[in-house]
Amino acid sequence: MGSSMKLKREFKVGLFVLLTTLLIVCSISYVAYKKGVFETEHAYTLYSISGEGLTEGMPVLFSGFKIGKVTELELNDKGMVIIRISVPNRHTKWVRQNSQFAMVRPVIGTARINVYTDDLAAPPLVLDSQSEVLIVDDINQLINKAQPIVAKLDQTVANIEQITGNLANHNENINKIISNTEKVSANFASKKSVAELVLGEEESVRSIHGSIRHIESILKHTDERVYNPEGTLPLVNLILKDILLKLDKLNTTVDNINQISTNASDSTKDLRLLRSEIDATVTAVKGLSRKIDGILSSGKEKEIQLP
Amino acid sequence: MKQALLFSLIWLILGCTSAPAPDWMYQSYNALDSYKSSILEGKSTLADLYFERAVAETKRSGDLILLGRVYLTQMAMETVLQHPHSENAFLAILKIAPDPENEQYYRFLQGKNYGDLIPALLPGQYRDFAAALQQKNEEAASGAIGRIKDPCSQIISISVCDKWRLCKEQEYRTAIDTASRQGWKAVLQLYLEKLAGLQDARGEKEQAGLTREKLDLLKD
Repeated sequence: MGSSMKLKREFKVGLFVLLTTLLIVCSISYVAYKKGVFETEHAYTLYSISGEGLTEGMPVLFSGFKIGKVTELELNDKGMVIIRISVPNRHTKWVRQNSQFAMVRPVIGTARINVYTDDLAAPPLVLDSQSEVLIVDDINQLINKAQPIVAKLDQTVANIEQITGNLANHNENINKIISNTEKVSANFASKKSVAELVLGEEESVRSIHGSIRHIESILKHTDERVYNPEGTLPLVNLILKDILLKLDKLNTTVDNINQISTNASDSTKDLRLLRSEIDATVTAVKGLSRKIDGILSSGKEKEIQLP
Repeated sequence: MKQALLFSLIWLILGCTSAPAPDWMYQSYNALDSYKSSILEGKSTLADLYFERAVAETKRSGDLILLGRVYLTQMAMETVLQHPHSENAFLAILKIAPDPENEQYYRFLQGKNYGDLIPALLPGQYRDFAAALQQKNEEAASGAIGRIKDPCSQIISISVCDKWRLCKEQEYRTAIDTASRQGWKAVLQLYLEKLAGLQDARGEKEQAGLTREKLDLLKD
């Protein structure tokens, strides 16, 4: 009885251990299966002119999803970096012959290889082919763009420093300008008018006033002479009327000139006709002279001979 | 009665003559003739016009061998005036329409490989001269030049002789006399300059000075 009980317990323990082991193995296998450990992987070969930023294990992304990883990096005989990536069987549909590979080094985050496929219907990428990896270097581009801005900022700060230094120094131009402005405003407060401020003395201002009065009297006389019925303006009016009459006559003359030019144009046509007739006559005369020349040279042909 | 006689005479003359030369032939011949005299006189702009006309008129005939002769005439004048040869057009023609006489004349003007030259295929006036050149016989060449009657051909042969550095003062003086007689100012100036150079080389400074003074007086 006791022996049978002991056997039963041992059996139970053994069964428990076996089941537990089996469960662990199944769990690990399931996790491994889900992780794609048993999945067939395809290795593609890429190349790049630089291996900077490339590391083994670097993810390969398609539309932001990881579809593979970099498994091996090596240099070939030509100095090109050969990159081997492995892509599980279920993701090979994203890698096509027209796919483009770009290594992106973002400002924030780890470097990765992005796969861009425009036409998913294109034939799949051949395993032993080699595709180029373009390098998109966000950090360096950002640094290159930022460098001139930083240089300008640096210059601006230096300028501000100089300005503030000038303001702080009592002997500098700005302080001189301020003190001059103060003097001018004080002077302006003590004078009666702007003219006095400009000229500096009352005598000159009085003289200017006198001149202005004199100019006023001259203008008054001028008005009388210009607008008087016997003044300049009615005379100018008379002259203008006379000019208008003469312009009317000139109109007729211009019409006549127009007519003459039209006639001249017609005559030109006649001249062209005459010219063509003269041309025809000259050609006829040439022909005749050639015939005479032929007769005089007794029909001897003037063939070109070597000199 | 007199009118009838005159009419009969004209009719007789017209009847005895053959048909006049074709228009293109007449024009090209005259233009080329004018080109030669203009270029030798130093009127290069006018000469260019005449040459263009000669080419255009010859092209009317479609005869490439004749056209080749027109270009060879230009090269002959360039030889006389010691200008570089404008040979591209001629070589293109020679490729399509090879003519042994034109080819031989071209070689003659080039002044190279006289061993390959066939004097019999050259125009008659140059045959003795070319044969003398082949033998490098200076006296025979000089004599052959003296026997050439056509002034233009004589100047051409002197120029070719000069290319071979076989010319002596006698040939230069012949060229000067011929150019002077024909009014070929460009040729005259060129050979006066050459004569002065030759006199300088011989140490005859006074003679060379006189020749140069003469040259200066002739310049425009």
